[in-house]
Amino acid sequence: MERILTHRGKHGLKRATWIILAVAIMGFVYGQEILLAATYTSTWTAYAMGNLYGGGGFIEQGVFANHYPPRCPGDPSSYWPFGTYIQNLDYYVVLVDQYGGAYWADTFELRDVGDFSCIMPNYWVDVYFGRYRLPGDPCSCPGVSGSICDIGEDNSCTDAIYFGSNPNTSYSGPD
Amino acid sequence: MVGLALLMSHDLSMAQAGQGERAITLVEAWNIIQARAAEWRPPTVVTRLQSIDAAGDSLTAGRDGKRRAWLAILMDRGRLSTQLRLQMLDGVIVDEQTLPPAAGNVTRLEKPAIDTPEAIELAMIEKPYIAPRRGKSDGYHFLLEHGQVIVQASFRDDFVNLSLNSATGKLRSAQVLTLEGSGGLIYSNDGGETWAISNLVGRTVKDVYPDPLLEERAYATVIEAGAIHIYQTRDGGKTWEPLSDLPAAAGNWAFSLGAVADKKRHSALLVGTASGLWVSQDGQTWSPAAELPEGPKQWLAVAQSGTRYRVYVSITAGANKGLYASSDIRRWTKEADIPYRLSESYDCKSVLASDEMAQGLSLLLTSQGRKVLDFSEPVLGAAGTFDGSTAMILTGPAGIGNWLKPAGTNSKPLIKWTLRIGAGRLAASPDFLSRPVAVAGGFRSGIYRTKDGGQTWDPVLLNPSALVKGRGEIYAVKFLSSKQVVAVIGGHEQWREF
Repeated sequence: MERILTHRGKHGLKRATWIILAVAIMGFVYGQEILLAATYTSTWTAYAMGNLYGGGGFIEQGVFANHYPPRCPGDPSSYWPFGTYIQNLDYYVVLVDQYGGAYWADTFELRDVGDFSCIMPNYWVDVYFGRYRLPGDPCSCPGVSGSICDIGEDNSCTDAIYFGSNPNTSYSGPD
Repeated sequence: MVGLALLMSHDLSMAQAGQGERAITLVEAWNIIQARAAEWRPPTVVTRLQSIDAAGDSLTAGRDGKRRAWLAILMDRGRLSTQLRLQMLDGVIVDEQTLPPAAGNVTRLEKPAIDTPEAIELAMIEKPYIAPRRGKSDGYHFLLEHGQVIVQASFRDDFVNLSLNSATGKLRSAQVLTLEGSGGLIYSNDGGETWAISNLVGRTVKDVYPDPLLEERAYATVIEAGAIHIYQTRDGGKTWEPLSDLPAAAGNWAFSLGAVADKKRHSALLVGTASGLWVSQDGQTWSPAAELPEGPKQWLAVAQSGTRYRVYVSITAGANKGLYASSDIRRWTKEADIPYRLSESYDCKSVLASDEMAQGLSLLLTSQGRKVLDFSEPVLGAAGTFDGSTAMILTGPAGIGNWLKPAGTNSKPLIKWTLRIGAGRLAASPDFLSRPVAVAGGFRSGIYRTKDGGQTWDPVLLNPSALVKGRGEIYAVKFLSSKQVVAVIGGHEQWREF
């Protein structure tokens, strides 16, 4: 298997900022390509470690989970298909890559499901923070066992716990 | 604010292709991607290729190994940073977006020797009982991974991945993503101060409900092997024994559980599922409440006063969406068009119906009728007293708190959030009026207890997963007596061979 190493380095935040600005300019130029979207407000939470695959494919930074229609049929967002993109309109989520480089993300792809008892409100979003752990750290996160982790320069579980529960987060998503 | 110029939906109904519908195989999609890659910024590699839904796809799309819509990621191998996300529809690339660099290692994919029409036939031979997915993705989907072609299907509403060797077509693994084997039920004999595991651990317990007549007795719904099982306890939640199974027609998931006591002092059990409200008068035989309209019976609550009761059920999706009520489980009336979440007061004499989408507008349902309450904030559940005599404890997206009238004023009551843990499940002691004890089970944030009606909270079990392997999501909390409390801890999904 060929593993291709990507390296953002310790200056990831600065570099990521430039990337965001560059892509944002592209978005302005090619703005007509962005499909019309609706705005939602709900709670954003975070998770980490866990399975390599969710129902919608590989679980990695940049993906999120939400409700599953056979379990939470009352949530209209549970019917959004895997591959749906959403964009946080209130804040950037700071993610940390394998090399300890922090970067900002506001756009996430739906690839997983969760909260099978529908405790969280409709339009709930659960952002995946990664599966990195420091050497010596356990490959676990409260509430998640049997995880698969990669050694890195950060602990994704700690970051997810720190993110906590963020009610009233506005984001755009599909109509 | 600035943002990434990504599609906000992958609904490809606005096809730019200008051609008729054309489903293609994985290898055909690969060839199209390779042609595009050659034009881009060589050398590039494919790091992701999978089928996705397209608007108008049938529920069995992919059964022939072909899909209309595909998604691919190309990476600039020379710079090892830039990614290009491509979407194909009907054999044509309809969208390209530049993505931020990958956060970690990625794997270069190789062209498979087997194609998806062959892969799905092989998968169906090995596992003929798999079904197309519905919800989140419809039909059969395909995913190329390093050395393997993955056929995505479902089994009893659970996601299934069948992994085939991309060179030989040999089945490498068949896995189902299931909650089974984790989660369970814990109990307390001291009003929620300390907790211990019951014999229902490593099981998918969905809900629990006390017997309306017998203290220490309660019932639980357990999901196992694609069926709904009822368990009962006679000792306050420490040990549970099987009572009966719901028929296959009830489905494989129980949303809610309740019980009523009639004039003859008989208990009846109620289970809300996607197919109906299932009723058992004897705990053994089950039949659906005939006159209740079709649709998922997601939320259920009972207002019980002596031997009189009123059952409330929210149908949360479909044409019959709304709140329904009955005083005999036979004749039902539609109370509202809104599928309210439902909570019972500490004495089960009243029900709070909260509309989470209406910024706090809720209905208080009692034997005397209904009253509109305006909490001014979204509310997801409640416990305690609902008549305004003492504390009403609420849970909402912002946390858990009291609904109080500011002292010495005529102002309308306000929610004071006293436990900032996000949403949770609540239960109040049956002697709440004299001893305002309640328990809150958070979403991955532990179990908390109040002795003062929700003004202050003590953490009593911060990591439920240390007791019961699971995600630490508290599905339900119920008092069986003033001392005996039970809590259901949700499991975590695991891929298991099947």
